[in-house]
Amino acid sequence: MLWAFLDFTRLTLDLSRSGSDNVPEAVYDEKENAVVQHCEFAGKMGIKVGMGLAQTAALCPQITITSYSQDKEHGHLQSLAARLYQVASDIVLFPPSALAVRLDNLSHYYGSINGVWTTLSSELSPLNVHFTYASGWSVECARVLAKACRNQIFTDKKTISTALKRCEVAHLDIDNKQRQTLSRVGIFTLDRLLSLSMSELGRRFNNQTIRYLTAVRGDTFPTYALYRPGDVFERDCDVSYEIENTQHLLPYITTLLEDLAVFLRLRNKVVTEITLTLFYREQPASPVQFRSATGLSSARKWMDIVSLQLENLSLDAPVISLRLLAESLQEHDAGNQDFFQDRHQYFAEKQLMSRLQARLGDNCVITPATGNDHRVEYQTTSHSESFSGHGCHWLPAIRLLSPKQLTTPCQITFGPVRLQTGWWDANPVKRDYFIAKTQSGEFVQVFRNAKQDWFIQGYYA
Amino acid sequence: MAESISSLEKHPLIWRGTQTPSAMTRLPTGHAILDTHLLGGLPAAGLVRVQAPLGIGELSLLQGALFSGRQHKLRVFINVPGDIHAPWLQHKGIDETKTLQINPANEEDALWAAEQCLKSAVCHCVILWVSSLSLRQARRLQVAASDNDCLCLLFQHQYIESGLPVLLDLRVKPHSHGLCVDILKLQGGRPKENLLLPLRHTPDNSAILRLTQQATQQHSHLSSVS
Repeated sequence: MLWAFLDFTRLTLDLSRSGSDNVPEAVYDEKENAVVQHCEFAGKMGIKVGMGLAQTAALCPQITITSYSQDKEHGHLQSLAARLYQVASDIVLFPPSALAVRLDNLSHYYGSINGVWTTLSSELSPLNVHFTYASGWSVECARVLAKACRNQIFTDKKTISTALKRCEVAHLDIDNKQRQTLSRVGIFTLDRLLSLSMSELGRRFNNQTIRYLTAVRGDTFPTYALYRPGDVFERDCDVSYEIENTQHLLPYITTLLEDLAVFLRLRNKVVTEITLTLFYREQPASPVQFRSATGLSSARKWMDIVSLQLENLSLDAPVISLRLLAESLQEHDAGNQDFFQDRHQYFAEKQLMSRLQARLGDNCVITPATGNDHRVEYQTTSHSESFSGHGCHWLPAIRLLSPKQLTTPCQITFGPVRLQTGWWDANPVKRDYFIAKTQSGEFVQVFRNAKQDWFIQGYYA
Repeated sequence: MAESISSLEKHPLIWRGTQTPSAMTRLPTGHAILDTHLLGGLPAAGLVRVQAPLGIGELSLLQGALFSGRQHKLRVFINVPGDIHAPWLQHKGIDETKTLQINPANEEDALWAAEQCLKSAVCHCVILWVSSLSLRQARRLQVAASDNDCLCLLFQHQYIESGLPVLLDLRVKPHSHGLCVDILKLQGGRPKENLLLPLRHTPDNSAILRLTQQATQQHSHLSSVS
């Protein structure tokens, strides 16, 4: 058996971030009076996990504090598990913020253990969640290695055992009293601990600890309740700032509806009614119901209905959180065959992507997206968000990775288009763009820079 | 004798000149002259080779076939000589999220990626740029494409004469009034040379030139009055 353990270190922060890197943010647990999660920027200001509120505020007065709630963290974990369940089978949840995935039974489907891991991590990468991970022969073993921040997927027993021996007693999941017992006899590393015989350990520890240690060693495999997705769809979403305008809610609702669409597609179901609950800071939460005459599953169709209804809704107070609930699932009418085709397509596409990425590397497989910039170099980005606005008719089909010197004589057929922009960063441009036809009949995008040098930047294929 | 001929006639790659072409799904290119000679357009499944120099409008010529129909499937560009420019895709009204660009390190990887994409059966078309292709490699692509109902379009910059097992072999040359297309091989149809297609795929300065011309005419008209 081979399990991967993923410990999400800052789940609340990751899933409710405003996205800007220059705002220090931290998550604060009121019960413990301690900071439990903080962003990198806050870390640079000297904030550490475990600090009190007063110390945090003294170190960094402008910090944004989010309050910690175990239920919310568990909810986030559930949504991550639901996401991973699309590509993995055996998932064990460790609330509030960790989960384990069995890898060896999946390697048959993805070609190799590394293929499985690439698929899992690419499933998580759009969410930008931070986690430490490791793999091991049992859940406990992987958990110890993840706690030690190995961040590696080990595939053979030898490397797992060497890595495990290097771990310390502090990485074990045992209570303080037992940790002290071990330190009293001079055992600080797992190398020493695991070399002891079971009868030796039996004298000092209770059965529970012995069972745990044999599981770490891989001698026994405790059984776990595997994750099963629920029968109704319920998903929470925290907004990154207090929203007073319904228009600003739409992006958050879109992500929720997309999750709903995947949920429904997998079960071949549709819904005719969804409930969106808006949570406020002071006032009681208010549910809003959306109904459709026919059962729908696609996010786009639901979005049309939701956005229309939201236009007429005025918010009494700023919204701080959303919940989408879809309870009455209905069978999809089998008359429409397209639905089924799409479902097949969805997974085949994912499989293709992971296969290509596994062999060629992540950077070699790109979905081109339009960047929000007038400079030709920045108009194609590999970011997931596409900016729609240009649609310029004079841009070429194929852009060279870097401009090359124009050496052949050619005749200008269109232009000039002057671009003088980019003053905000280190790459300002001042260029006159033309479309030129070379003597051999090729249409090329050429430009003249401020020094009157000519370059080819693209081809009108 | 008659028996041997009838066994030949059953072969899918052999047909009589008078025979009507098989009912294969076609993707119309949108150019009426070209579509009639191509029996309705590019084949929807199979390998098609286009020999054309880079930048004469070879993608724009076939855009009707490449970008319309089967909208839920992927359009994959492999080993592009540069980058596919996203605003161009947007201008042509193509859903960028259903577009994939693959930049392999070498041509061997490019062919591997093409075969994977074809076999996945999630692609509408796979557009591939390679400089050379052996008979065996072409056969593999052709089988993968026709089995999985996907168009594999192969662009080559140099004019190479070779009898590759492709469904359609086109040669596109620039012409002063647009493009000149030679149909070198067409399964189920006849070759045809020198098809002239008036195609303007780039904007030009004609509007400005016309205005300046009018302005000078008016100016001369006024000056003659005075």
